[in-house]
Amino acid sequence: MQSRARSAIWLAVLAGAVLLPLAAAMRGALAGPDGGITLSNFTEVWGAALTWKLFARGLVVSAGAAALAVVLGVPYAYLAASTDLPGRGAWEVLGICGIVIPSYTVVMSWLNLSGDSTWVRTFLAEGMALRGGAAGAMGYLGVIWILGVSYVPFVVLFSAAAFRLTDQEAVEAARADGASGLQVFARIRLPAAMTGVALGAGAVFALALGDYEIPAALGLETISWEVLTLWTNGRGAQALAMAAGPTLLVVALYALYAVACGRSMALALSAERGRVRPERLGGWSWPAVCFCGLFVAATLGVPLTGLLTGVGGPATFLRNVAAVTGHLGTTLVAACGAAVLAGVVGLAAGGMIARTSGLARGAAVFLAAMPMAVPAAALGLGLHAVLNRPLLYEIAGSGAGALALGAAVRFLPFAVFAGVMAARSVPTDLEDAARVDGAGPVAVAMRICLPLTLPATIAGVLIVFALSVSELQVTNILCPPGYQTLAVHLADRLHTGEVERVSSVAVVMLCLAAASGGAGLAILRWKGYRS
Amino acid sequence: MQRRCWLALAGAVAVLAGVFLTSCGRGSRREVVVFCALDSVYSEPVLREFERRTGIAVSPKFDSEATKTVGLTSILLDQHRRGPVRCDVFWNNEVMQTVRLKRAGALEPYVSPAAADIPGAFKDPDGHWTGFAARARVIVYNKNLVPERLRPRTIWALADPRWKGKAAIARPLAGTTATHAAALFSVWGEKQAKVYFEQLLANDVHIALGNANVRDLVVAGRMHIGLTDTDDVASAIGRGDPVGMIIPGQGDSPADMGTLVIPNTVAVMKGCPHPEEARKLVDYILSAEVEERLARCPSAQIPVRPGVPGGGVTPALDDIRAVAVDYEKVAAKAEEVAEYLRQNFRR
Repeated sequence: MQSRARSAIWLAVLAGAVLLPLAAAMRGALAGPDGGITLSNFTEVWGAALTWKLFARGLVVSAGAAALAVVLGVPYAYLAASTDLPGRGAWEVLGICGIVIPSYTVVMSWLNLSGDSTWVRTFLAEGMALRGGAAGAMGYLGVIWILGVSYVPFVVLFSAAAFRLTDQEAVEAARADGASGLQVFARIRLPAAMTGVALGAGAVFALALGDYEIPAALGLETISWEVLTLWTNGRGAQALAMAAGPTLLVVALYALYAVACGRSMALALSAERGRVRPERLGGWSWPAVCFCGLFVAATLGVPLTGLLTGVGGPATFLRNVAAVTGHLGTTLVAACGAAVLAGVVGLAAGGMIARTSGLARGAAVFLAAMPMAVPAAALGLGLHAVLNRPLLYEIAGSGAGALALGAAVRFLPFAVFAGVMAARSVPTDLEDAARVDGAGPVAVAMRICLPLTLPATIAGVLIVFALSVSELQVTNILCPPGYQTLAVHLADRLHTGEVERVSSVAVVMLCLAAASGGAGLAILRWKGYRS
Repeated sequence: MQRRCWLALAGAVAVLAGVFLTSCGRGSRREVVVFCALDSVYSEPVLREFERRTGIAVSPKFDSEATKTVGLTSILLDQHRRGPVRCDVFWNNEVMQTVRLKRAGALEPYVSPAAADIPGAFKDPDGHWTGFAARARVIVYNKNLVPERLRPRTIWALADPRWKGKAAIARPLAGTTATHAAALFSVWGEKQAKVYFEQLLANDVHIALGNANVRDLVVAGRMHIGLTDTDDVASAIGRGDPVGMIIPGQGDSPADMGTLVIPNTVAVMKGCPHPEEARKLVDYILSAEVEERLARCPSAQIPVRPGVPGGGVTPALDDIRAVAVDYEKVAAKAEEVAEYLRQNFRR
């Protein structure tokens, strides 16, 4: 077991990275006009019927998106992880790849698809109100669809991992009893994977609730958009008080999940990967392939096609890319910084989670997942409050450091996840043997832990880099003068009608994210099969 | 393998050092920080040209569709109240938020010699800000859907049952639509202004995200008419979209009071860290050369100084009957009516 002192240090670092911006946000929400503490911001905001109406809208679209993501993502994850689907390894990676595609480019692409020329486009435009704004109940459909297909990769990610941990003995026993594939799925595999499914659905719910770009772009104002509107109108305290609502809800749901499923999660994190015999699809192979193909078309094909068709010719693309080299530089610097920061903390925190037990592990897992649970606007506002102080601003807030910090905190859960996988690949008896031989902590780290964890650590760094390239919601709030990332530049130009510029920038971002994220996922997958 | 680990560690330290040095290295160079509300596609070339000519590094912060001009203003007010001031120049694409900063005492008076030929109606009497390169509030219509005989002439057309559910305005909570709403309250009085907005709502006016969204809805034919700005319509006309613009209120009847003309405004921030560079930038932005450049760009801003040619798509200032407003009164009215508009214009 890791020493208590080291565990305490890294737990404190993790807590600082996650809780400091949230504490700053809460302090801002409680700030009175004279600088004292008051609840008046909460009573003013949550005493208004409008707030509850916007909150209810946010809950409806988030729950709808989560439900849609489960309906689409769970069968996909099962097919890719637990059956003999042709090319299932590639399908699994394709199913997760959508994580690196920013949600605002997804809505751009779907909007480009909607129009009046065919019945499909008319349905998208009228039936789902993808153009023209929300029109009664139908307007919610478009928002739920886009949110669902944007975030469904999280359901695939967690569900696939959970399906792979199904108890093989129970499956074999059911088969021996004559159970069909569907019966095995419904009575053994799915119940066993509910922990992962619930985690994925929860992630989609939290991300959809905190997303202010997609609903607003489609004409539906939700609570997250109102938080940003209040902040930009100089009512920062009220904005933070409003953000506290969805934040507390998601944290409470997550805490409930941790209590209800924490034990299963702990077992899953410490379980050895067994080899699960894939379920035979037989005559259902090709329908399954068709379903997976449609899934990938909706989550990857449409965004990519929408962007590529908007680029214009190669000469136009190159001209537009040349025009944004400054923003590209800022993006690369910020993303590299975020990746390294998150990688270091993630490796240490992941190692701590893998090597400890009980309350410390539970607290670390809870803290590590918080940044993705908290609405992006709340996280951004909290970080802004932390960095907007005289000395901190000069060190970190006035340059790319602010952007790196924002993205590092936002995507810390991915780095911690990679860190856990990395730590699990180091046999504890090796460390113990080194210590018995008289090696100090630095020697153990440099000669045993780091060499063995380097591939997974690099994978985590690459994944955080991929996600940071296109991060917008936190970056939009933290962007200092003179530093504009590609994502902020793209959002800036979205309404100017410069389709070719916007599409070219989006393609560049996607290429960066796909290359680095794909490499990271490939390393993790390779590492996973080797262990 | 161990060597690779040391290399990886060294690389990580180098990356972090490089990232955070981007903050620390700023103090040594000549620079000016500008918060700019005009779309970066139009303003950034101007700022880069200034940078090229003077060697002074320009660090711009632009607004976005998410944060709008009011977001920049909120940051500036926060800097002014709590310190330190980190922005040197505020380039606004309208006037109300600039007046809001003046009322808060956040602006430094500076009368630029480059603005000597700008009419007094576009300057702050106390020298805190100067206007240039304006836009006008206009009605955009779809040429394929709105025959000439039915083309609206005043903003009351948006309340006409003929356009029920087919007229659009931007949310009057920010930007020029908020300025326009406040101006209507100021010029018409509260009673008539509320009648107007209530009639709009009763006529199922579509509330769009912004002026550009209004234009896009009319271009797409989802709306037939809309209230927006000249620059939004000019860029659509320039692209060949089937829309036209009408300057409302230009007739001879008593209801035709003219339209609102909203200039860009530029001001120096009080207590800014680079005052000399700030004044140089203001001088450049207010030059006739820049005003002509903004007139010729796709947004076709309207020159306010005589003798500067327009872009051709929008009418010249002399050809527009502008409604006479006192921007100080409009800004004061904006704060009064903000809550009324926020409660009634939700989507």
